[in-house]
Amino acid sequence: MKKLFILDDEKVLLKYLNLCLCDEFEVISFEDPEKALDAVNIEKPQILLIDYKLPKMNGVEFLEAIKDKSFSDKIIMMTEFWEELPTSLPESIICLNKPFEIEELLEVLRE
Amino acid sequence: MSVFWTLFCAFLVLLMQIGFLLIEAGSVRRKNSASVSFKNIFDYFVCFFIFYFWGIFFLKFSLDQILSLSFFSQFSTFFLELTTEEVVNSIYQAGFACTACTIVSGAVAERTDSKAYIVFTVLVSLICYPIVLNWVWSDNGFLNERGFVDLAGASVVHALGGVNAFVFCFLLGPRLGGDLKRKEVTLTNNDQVQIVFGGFLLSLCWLGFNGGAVSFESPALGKIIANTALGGAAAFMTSFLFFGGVSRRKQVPISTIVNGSLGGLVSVTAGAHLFNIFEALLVAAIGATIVMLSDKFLRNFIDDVVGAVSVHLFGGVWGVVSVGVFVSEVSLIEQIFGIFIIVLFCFIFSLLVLGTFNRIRPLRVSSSSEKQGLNYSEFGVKDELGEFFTALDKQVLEGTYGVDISYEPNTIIGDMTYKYNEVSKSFKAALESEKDLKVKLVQQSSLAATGELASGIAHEINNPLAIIKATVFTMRKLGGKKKLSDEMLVNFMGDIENTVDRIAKIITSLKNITRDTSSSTKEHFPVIELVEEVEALIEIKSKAKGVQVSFNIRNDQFSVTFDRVQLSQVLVNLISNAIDAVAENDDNWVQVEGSVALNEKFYEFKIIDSGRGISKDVQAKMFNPFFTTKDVGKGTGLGLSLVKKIMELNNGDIYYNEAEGNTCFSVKVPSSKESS
Repeated sequence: MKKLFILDDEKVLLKYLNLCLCDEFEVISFEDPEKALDAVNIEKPQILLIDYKLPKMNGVEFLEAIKDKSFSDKIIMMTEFWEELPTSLPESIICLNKPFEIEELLEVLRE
Repeated sequence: MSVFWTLFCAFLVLLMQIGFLLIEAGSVRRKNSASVSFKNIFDYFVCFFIFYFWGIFFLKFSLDQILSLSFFSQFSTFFLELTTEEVVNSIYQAGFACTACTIVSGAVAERTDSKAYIVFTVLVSLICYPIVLNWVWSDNGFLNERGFVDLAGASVVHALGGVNAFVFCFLLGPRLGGDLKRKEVTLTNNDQVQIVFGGFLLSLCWLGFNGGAVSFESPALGKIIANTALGGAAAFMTSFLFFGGVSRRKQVPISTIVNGSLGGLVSVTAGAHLFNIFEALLVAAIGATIVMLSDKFLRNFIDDVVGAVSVHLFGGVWGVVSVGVFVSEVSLIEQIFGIFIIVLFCFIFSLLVLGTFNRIRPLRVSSSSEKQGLNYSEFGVKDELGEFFTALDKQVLEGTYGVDISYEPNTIIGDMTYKYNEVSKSFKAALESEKDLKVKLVQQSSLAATGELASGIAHEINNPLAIIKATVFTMRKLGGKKKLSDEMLVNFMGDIENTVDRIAKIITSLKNITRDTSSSTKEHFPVIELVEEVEALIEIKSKAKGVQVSFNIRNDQFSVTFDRVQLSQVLVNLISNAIDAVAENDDNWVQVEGSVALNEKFYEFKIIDSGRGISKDVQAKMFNPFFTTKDVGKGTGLGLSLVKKIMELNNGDIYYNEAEGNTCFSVKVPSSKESS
């Protein structure tokens, strides 16, 4: 079972994503990017599901803060407003527009 | 020839009335010019008449004869049998009486009831002047017999008029707005040219005033004319030098210089036939100096509009005394004694007459009449210019600019009024078009600002939508596996409901913010309603930026009058700016305080953030449109200028509040009570 880190400041969303995905992934969720940052190097999750808009920093800044990302093979960036994402975003990062269908998310995660 | 000479001098003496009229009309404010002019023409006709039929006896007979009424039997024959020479002499003497009376009118101008003036001037003509005249000029007059010398009335005419003027002024008190303690003239004169013209005319006529005192054949005539003419010149030059002459340091008060010249002329009047030319120059120069000095001194006690007391009383007294000083044949003691008696007599006389009158009815007009001006209140003379100014005041008071003021065509004031109407109309039109432009600018920039906000809000709706989708998916998944318990169902439904509420709240604020703001539609509403709306709108941003926004709203039921949508824009804009300003700081918070201010005229919001204030140069520019400190693309710079315009359009105000240690903006919203 792959380790999935979810980082979003919406507590309720985290609760349901957990319920939806817990059958197929080992879900570890965070509201606070700083706490997530501390945990990410220890847990080394294969998949990162990050909201772009976060308190204190945004999703891209969060990724830049992780020095060694070699453990992760999939990074998904959630956004409510795709225009806000920087154009310089690496192509390897998958963008997912909110609101998304959970099936859609599952498909991306299973790939 | 002698008759002609005296007639000519009589003519000049009577012409002096016009000189007095000009000085007085020129010295008072326009609203009183007709009133002083009336007093002058009254003196000319009435005092002349009284003297001709009454005063002349005091010159021809002794006081004993008059008191015993023995002259009464000769009354009719006296006038029927007058020779031309006697008639001309009477006219010359009558002119003196007019002058003595009219000296008072200028001093007491602008506040005296004209009836009081008339009564006083008639009594002076009937009693005061004839008695003094008898003492000094009658063959058996008691001062004349003692050797008192006064050629042409320095005492009889001038000192007498001066004392009367002093007492009258003293009893009246200063004009409204005329402060006794100040040494300068506080009330503006009407026309300096008239004053100079009057002074000019008086100086010229003085040749007749003094010259007529002797016959044409008299050997002293040439001396008198020279002493008078050059004495005037010396007095003028002295006065001019007294005020610094041509040095640039001082301003030269024209009317005071005219008074100085006249004072010099008064001084040479008593002894013009005795002084040699150098003595005359010296007497006139000293006389002018005395007038200048006494003028300043007298301002502590009386408000003498034209300075008559200093010219005629002080000039006259010095004139009489100077004869005793410079002419060895004349006794100084007698001169001093004579003038003392005359001044004392006039003082007692005028104090008795005016004091008694003042007890019966006031000497002074009511303060409302005084303000209105005696031209109108006493004589019904309308003042076109005054009316024009009244109409202007009305426009200022009522704000009715651009409304035509009625006028009389083809008169100076009429044409001026017409022009003013034109200017005021076009000015009003310009103002209105500027106001239109302001409204348009507000529309445009508020569109830009609301656009920004709307996209932000739409952006935020997607988040709760994602939650609902995830919830529904979870329910379906668990339901499919028959794992959905009732307890879980209630829990999930609760989450959906909360999230839907959240969306609804955002939609409501979105609706408000994008509503048409082209016209400001003022509503009355309690502060609390607005604050709830603003809190909802701000919550999203404060969360996103990680800035704590706290609200501390007192008197939240207080009702304000404002365009609700615009006020919410204003507050959101300011709070949003505050959040941006401090978001990057370690210590970041924004506090919104609300309380009733200025005796419940306003409700004041203070938006304070953890910033350390705004620099002076930014403060100066920050309300200008397109001024921004944000990076390119981060702000339109319309925010604060828009906020300012919105506040102005709604009679509110916004300003940078330096009283707080932190950065603080104060927003004043008018209370419903004020606007209703």
